[in-house]
Amino acid sequence: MTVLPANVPSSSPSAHTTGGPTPYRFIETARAIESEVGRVIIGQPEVVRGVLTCLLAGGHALLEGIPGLGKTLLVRTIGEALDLSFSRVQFTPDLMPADITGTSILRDTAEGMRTLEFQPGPLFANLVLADEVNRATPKTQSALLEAMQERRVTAGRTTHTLPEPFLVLATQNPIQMEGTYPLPEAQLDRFLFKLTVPYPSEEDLLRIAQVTTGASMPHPSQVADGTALLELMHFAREVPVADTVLRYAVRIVRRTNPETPDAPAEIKRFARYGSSPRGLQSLVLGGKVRGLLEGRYNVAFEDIRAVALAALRHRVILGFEADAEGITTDKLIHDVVTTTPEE
Amino acid sequence: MTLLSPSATFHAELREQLSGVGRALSYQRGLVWMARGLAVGSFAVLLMIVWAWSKEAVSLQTVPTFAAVLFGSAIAIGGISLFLRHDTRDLARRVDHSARLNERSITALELGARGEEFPLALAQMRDAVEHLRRIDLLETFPMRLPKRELLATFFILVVAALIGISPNPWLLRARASNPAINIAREQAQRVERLANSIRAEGSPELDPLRELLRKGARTIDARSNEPGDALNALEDLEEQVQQMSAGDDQLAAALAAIASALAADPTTQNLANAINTGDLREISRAAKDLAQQTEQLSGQDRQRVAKVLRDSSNRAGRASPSVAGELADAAAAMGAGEGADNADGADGSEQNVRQGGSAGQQPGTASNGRSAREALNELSNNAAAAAERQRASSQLESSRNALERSLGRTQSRSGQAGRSSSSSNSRSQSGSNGQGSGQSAAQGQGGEMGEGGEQGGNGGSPGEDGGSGDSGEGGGFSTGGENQNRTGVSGLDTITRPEQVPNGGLFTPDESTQNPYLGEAGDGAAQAGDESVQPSFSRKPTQGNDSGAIPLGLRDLVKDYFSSLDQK
Repeated sequence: MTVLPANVPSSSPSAHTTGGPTPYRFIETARAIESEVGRVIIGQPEVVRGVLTCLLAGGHALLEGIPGLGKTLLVRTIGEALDLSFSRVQFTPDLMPADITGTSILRDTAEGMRTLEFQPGPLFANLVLADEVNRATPKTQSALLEAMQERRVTAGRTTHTLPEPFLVLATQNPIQMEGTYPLPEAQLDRFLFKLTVPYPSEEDLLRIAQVTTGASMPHPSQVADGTALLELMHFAREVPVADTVLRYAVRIVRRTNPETPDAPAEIKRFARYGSSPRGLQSLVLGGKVRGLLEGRYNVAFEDIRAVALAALRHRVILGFEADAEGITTDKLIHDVVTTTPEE
Repeated sequence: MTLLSPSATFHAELREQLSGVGRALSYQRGLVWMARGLAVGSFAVLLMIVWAWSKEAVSLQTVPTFAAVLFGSAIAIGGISLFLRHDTRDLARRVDHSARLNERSITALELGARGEEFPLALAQMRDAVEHLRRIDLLETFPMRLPKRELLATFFILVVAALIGISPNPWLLRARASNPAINIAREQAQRVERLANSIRAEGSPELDPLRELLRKGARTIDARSNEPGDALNALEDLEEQVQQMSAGDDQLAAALAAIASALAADPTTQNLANAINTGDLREISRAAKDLAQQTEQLSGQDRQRVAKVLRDSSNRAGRASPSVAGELADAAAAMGAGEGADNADGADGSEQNVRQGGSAGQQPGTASNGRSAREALNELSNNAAAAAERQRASSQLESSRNALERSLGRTQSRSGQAGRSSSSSNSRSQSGSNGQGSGQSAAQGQGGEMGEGGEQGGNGGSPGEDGGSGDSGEGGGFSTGGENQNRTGVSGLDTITRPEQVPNGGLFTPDESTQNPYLGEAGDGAAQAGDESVQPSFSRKPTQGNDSGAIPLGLRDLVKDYFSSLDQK
């Protein structure tokens, strides 16, 4: 269960009313979402926080974990708490791009004529769950990732804009890799965060058993809608960041690159490619949202460190030597973060 | 009136809060830098001690200097650090870190500097200011004890102390190869003891002499590793003491001149006898006794003593105006006192008592207001001071001779010996009924060893004529102390007449043998404490000197040895 931060600033909401969401409202809303989702998703506070951060930052998240850990339930619960339209696509090798983007079909009109009409696919939802995204062919993956990036779909000669907010939560299974198509690095880069869903602890499993096997399941209350979420997303981007904190984020991103002179020895040895500038954007945006969720109006070094793994783990590409020695990206990023000086 | 924007207001308040933090940090930094100054100072002290140790000049007297260097550097460095200003950005970063403000301050500082006015920026700045207000500076920046610096200081000082108290092996080796170093140090200690013994006399006139001797002792001690330099210092000191004693010859001559006059009256007989002994200490004591007696004398006795003193004053006039003046004051005061007594006896009125003296002076005082007692006490003090200067001069000469002997320069001082022999020579002459004052004024121009001594023995012309002091045949020997009064030959002088130590005819002079006095010790337990036998032993050097059993060149050493036992 997630623990809500206690240090909400004492400023009264009326002190900052300028027509949009106030810092106080942002924090209250974000905590309400977190709280509601946490009532349903048991034992995954970090993942819930990560997904919420990703949503408020306006990015897409890639969830990685074994089946049955509540990934789908998490996405659906968030959709319910935010009153967002929700769709789920189970990716399979025979899934075609049009299956997710939609297609034009021939339809009879009232006048007796026939016309092509675009039938939107499951991507036309506020919240899309792309389940086991690595099982689809690269062609379909590309269609999804293009839609994620461009936030619109082109069918025939017509371009269709996806609804706002548009958030994709993709999942992939780290086991049973036969017959899968691992996402290429360029496409992984489109995801703001990559979150790993850990196996619940014994106590969490006990609570899951108690809660989910009873007569009634807990349901989240709606605490915001899509419009409010969009406002919150825009508001989060206004969080100020000190120059020293930005430089810290830059140093971290640079040091993931093996070509950087001051990169750690492990990075130079085990990493093939480091993070792109998108990684830096992810770090800063994630840090801004986390700062607000922690009750601050600024980004701290701690925020950058907290989101570094989620923001960078899918952007650092390991070499063969790392595979041979069992080195994970998480370890390398952890080393980078702990050895990068703040000043 | 200027209306500040919200951003500027928050920014100003933020800077004010940060400046308070800066002051707290300055004090903290001052403490740390003071401790570092202590460490630096202790290192400087260590260097100074090592330097002094190499010269073997470490002593308790230098401890205040070391302490001043130690604490002076600490205060200086700590004080300087208080004036160094903190950078505001650095302060913000530090306060964010120490108070766990999660970069609130630095962010707000940047926003304020840029003049950002959007709502979230204002909220952030307000939040930062409120957090800064709630900071407890003592809790956030606790005054930590700079343990590392203090430990370093402690260890350096321990090392310095160990070095300071440990003997210098190189110097020990050098001393072993050059015994003159030890002798120079011993002479420095002797001079120091001499200065301390003068302190016991308690006369303010002797303060300059005492200070001079102490300073000289320190100089000699500091140069003891270079015995030649130490000898030069000793010679300088001796010369300075001689300069201070310049008037003592006149005093001695004046005293010699008045001895016969004083012998005419039983009251002043003791003073005359003391003058005849030539011992200035005896003279001082006798003058003091006479000063005490003056108040108990009857009218006739006072008149008689006044007459004798007046006569003495006339006689001393040529040799020493100051002595003559003191005697004249004493005589005048006694005469005046008698006049007052007479007047008091006539009508007992106070007015008469005041006018009973001669020519408007106070009763019992001289024209300058001094009483007879004061005048005689002054004479006594002068004599005592002269005695001390004489003693100092004698001992310095003895020390110089010892150092010269150790350096192999035993024959090099004959020319200067005459300079210092004048006073002892005068005493020798005064011993023959005060007729030696003329010789005493001679300033050692003879330089022929031995002749001066004979002159001293023969005496000069009668005291009345002796003031000219132009005979020019002063002593050829340096003085050695009070024994010179009787012999006229200094036992402390360089050995000019080598004597063979009596050995019962067992060995020829050029024959060496085992020291007969270093035989095996018996096992007899001591039957008496040393304090009970000390007095008899302490007389031995005097007896030995008198009997001639102690060789001339060793007399002074023997006497000094027993003198040092007495001081213990």
